[in-house]
Amino acid sequence: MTSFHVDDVRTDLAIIRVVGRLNMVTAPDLRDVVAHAVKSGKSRLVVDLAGVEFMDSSGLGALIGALKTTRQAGGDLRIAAPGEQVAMVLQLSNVDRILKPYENADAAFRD
Amino acid sequence: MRPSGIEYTAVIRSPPDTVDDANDFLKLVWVERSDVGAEDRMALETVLSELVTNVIQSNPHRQIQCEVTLSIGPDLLQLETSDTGEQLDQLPPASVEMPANVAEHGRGLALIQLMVDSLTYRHDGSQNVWQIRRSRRSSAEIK
Repeated sequence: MTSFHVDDVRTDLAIIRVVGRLNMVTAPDLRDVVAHAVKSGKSRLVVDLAGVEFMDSSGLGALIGALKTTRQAGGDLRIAAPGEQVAMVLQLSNVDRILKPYENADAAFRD
Repeated sequence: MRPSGIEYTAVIRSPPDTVDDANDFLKLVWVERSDVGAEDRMALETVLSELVTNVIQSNPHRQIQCEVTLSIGPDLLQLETSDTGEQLDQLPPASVEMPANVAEHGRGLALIQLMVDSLTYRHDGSQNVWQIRRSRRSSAEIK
């Protein structure tokens, strides 16, 4: 069972903490959570992947879709703390070139 | 040549089963096979998830049965899926290019090819059969 917890940090910034797997079952849920957050004014989002035990290309697609959603609203999306398997998939797919993994959620929007 | 390994099998019937059931199957195998290294586990979990996702997504309006067989040999890992879905219109290309960074779909087969020594597809008359082979990495190679 995959869960999504949204922590509001500032007016326009939130952290989405994902626990579980990001695959074809749960990728649509991530897209929905991001769309809802952006609609409520959080156009800058961090997806904290520390609790993600597994991600495949469906998860990658959802992250890229989520990135587009935030940018269309004038914001941005960053990812943080991927585990070993998630980092491997990001790197093999070259998605780490457009979604650079930050060490942790706090570091993701420090600049 | 078949790898001289011990075989582990699961059957996915979707719906109601999902790709999570394929992942759960491998988790159970790892409990029994602690000798399979982390790098090989990650590769097999990712490959199987991509294969089963493709089968389910290619057959949205029908129930499919997908038999998964993992063979663990001393040097070789072989994963095979046999599914009752629609036969592919055309054979997948020998080498699938990774789509553009901003693409939201189309990475599955490209990802698989980066993690295996061989990926083959055949239709045996009634089922689609996908097979991958991967040489086992020794623990010492795991970073």
